[in-house]
Amino acid sequence: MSELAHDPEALLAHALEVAKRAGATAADGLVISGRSTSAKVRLGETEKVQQSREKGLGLRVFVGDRSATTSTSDFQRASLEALIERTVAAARVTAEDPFAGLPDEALLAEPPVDVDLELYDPDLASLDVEAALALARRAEAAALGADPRLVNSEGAEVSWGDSEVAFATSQGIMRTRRSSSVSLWTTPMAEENGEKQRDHWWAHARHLGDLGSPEAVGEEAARRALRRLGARKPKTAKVPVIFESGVASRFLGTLAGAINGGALYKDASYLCGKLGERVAPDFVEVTDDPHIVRGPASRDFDSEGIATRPLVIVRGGVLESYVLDTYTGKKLGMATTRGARRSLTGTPGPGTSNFWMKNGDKSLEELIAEVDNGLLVTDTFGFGVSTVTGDYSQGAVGLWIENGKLAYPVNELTIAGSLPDMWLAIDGLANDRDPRRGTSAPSLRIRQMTVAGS
Amino acid sequence: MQPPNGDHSPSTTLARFGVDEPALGRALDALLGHQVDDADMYFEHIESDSVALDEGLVKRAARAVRQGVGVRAVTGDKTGYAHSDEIDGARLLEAARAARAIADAGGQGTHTVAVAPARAGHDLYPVEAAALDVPLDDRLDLLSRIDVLARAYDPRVKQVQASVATDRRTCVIVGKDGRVVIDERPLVRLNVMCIAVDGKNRQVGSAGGGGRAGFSFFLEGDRWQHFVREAARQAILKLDAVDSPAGSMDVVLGPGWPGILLHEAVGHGLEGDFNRKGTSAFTGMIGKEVASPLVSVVDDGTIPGRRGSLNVDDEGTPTQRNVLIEGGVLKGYLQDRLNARLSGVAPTGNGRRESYADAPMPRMTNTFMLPGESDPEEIIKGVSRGIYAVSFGGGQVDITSGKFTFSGSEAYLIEDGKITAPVKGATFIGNGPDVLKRVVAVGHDLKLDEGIGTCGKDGQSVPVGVGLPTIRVNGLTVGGVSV
Repeated sequence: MSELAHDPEALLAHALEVAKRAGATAADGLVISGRSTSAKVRLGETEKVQQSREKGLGLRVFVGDRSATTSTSDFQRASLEALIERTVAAARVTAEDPFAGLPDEALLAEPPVDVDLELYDPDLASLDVEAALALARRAEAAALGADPRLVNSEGAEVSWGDSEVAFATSQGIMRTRRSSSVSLWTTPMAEENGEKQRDHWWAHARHLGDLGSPEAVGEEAARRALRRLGARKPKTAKVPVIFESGVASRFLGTLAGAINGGALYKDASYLCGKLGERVAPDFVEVTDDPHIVRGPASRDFDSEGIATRPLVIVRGGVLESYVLDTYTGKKLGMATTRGARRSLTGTPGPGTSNFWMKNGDKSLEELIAEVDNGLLVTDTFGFGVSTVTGDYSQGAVGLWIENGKLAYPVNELTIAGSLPDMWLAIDGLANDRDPRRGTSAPSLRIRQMTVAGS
Repeated sequence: MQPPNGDHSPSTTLARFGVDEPALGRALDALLGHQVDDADMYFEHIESDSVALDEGLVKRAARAVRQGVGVRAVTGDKTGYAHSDEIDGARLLEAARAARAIADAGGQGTHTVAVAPARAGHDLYPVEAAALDVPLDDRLDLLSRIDVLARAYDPRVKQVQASVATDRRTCVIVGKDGRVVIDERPLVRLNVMCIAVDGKNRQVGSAGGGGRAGFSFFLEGDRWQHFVREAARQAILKLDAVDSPAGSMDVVLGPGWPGILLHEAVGHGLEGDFNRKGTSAFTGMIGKEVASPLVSVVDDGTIPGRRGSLNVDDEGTPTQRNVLIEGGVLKGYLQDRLNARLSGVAPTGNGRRESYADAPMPRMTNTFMLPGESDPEEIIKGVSRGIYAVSFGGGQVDITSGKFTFSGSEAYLIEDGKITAPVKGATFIGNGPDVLKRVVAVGHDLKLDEGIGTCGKDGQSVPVGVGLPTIRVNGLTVGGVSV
């Protein structure tokens, strides 16, 4: 084992130095070190405890306008150096790309936000396996105790951990960030008249103290599984459709995909060229704010080392900004929105942080009350959404609405529409956005979609 | 870190991980107690290369090296799992102790490790032709030719994205009994995506394939050209596609990749973990009729060179051909060691994991329906109004309710027994325990997919294969916008 493995900053500095020696004209890289544990129970008994430690280096090298990337978890000096040399050699034979390169030094020199984002909870490390198992047991017990029809369980799990990201460029920038998170989920199964249904609920927090009551998680999971019992297949029809906030958040995620610079410069988005145009009714507001204290997707610098800034995406229903990194910005003739994201493997690309749609002023019940005959969608599944063409067609689960009230559960149905039309057809927003989600929208109503069933 | 090419002897392979037999023995001592029913250590070294092209340029070349060890102790249905990407004697002992801690400790002993045959199980894929040793130039050249061919297909092909990924994985599995099994697994994949633009109409076509083979796989016959033409053809075709109808319809699925129906509708529901726990819609149905008598389904991990094939699974069990449904009757589930032991049956060679960072679970390998006797053209002719679907995006299932969905990427209307307009945006939804009962015809044209499938379960992705002859399913719900 190499001594380099124990000092991320020294490892990064060494990697950049080796790249330079091998002929790289510029480079940047990151080291991610993480520890995590998960503790799972099922039917009250411990089922699985898993501990992991991971450390990886990701490196991007440039030889003039050409580039290549590498990643490794093998830090023995000889193999590390051979890998970097091989990567620089690969960069020499890829295509010249005049848009390639590191960000401007002036931009990199800007200091990150001077607010403690509180992404790291030092107390979380003191959570031990027994205490975590106890939290999981409480959540599962609350779920199974809620109703005699809850007869089985996929279990309950608590997982927690922390990680440190160290980032450096050959221009001399070095930044680090520590963060932690803890989550809990449980999935009870309900059974009645031979019909089986399951659903889950969860909690997630940066700090252990923010996780909330495990009983609340269990009770909500129970409610969600029970309300699926007695499901019918609805008749095929065009009706108003309400997306419950979890489904609405997935729907909001399609906007994040469609305004991503990586898709836009390849002409691979239905929102190409739509900047400054109306994409939604005027009461729709979407922001991307990386500075929310303890936010699930907060970050003080992006994956190119640039200090992040909050961004208005949709204001008054008008698309005001794309999400860009340095490369996609240059390709589109725009500035980076400081939105680079990057895993250890591969090149940076744009991505969102806390991508939130603003709450409306009604409750979900009020949105439902305004529908005579329609569908509340509580879950979607499948892969029938394309942000390239805008086609939307998903398997769905939900509750049928009759005369402003939830009437009966439905499943084995699909909902279909087109993304641009669906966005413009939003005619109501609830006030129930869940701040625990990185991409989060309140429940929302779409005037009409095609529901296919029998 | 890299051994000389072709040296795959057990001691050399172990040395790559910086461990020897005595170190493994000490780790097993720490891992095993009287109450430990099962245990294993899984060492893995993965080298992956990828090159990608867009806008006519190969802008990206990436190489990744990942290695680590996962250590597991099992007592009853309790699993302790620890993994680390730093491998040395001390870390291995630490992981072993952590894994065992969950099993109520007690007992000790001395364990010796004997390096067994270098490979166990089958010999389904070449390790000599390791794709990573192909010069980068050859891969760049292929991508450039792909770009040219795709654009030549039709001037409306405006964007071409292509990538070649090659992966070589060395797995060393040390069992409870000290037996060591080594498997070297190549995996290659080529993806081509074309975007066709005509005015405001923008459509995507994609194709690709691969398997447990070397890079030369793509150069055999006109394989890569076939993938390119398919992606371009699909994108252009969709420019003229009409909106998919919505409602309950008779559907003909073409051969090959539409086998994703089986993967979603029955495959997941037949995994041993869900059935042991009683959470699957198929629980307790062995010996019962779950499909039309025309339907037989197998999961076979032993087909040479296939993406879903393995010499041994990730627990060291040789893969096999498992009959899941025979003549419409449910015959068996897919098992890993833990679920097999608790269910009182033999493991079926389906214990798989994404990497050393994950504990194994029962997973599919290559899942397909056996051919029937019908003529595919006759099957289509028999449908007065329906959908003919030949290619799909992804699918997903809720194994408890049994509801599954999958999305068509190339489909057509059938009107009066004839294939007519292409349709877009079709999603199919059905009920797993019920859908195969609605199969009214099975063609004689079984085809396996081209080698593009990746299956996700519990956050773990593994490569899989599917296959299907042409079949007709009556009364499947088709989701589209057109009512």
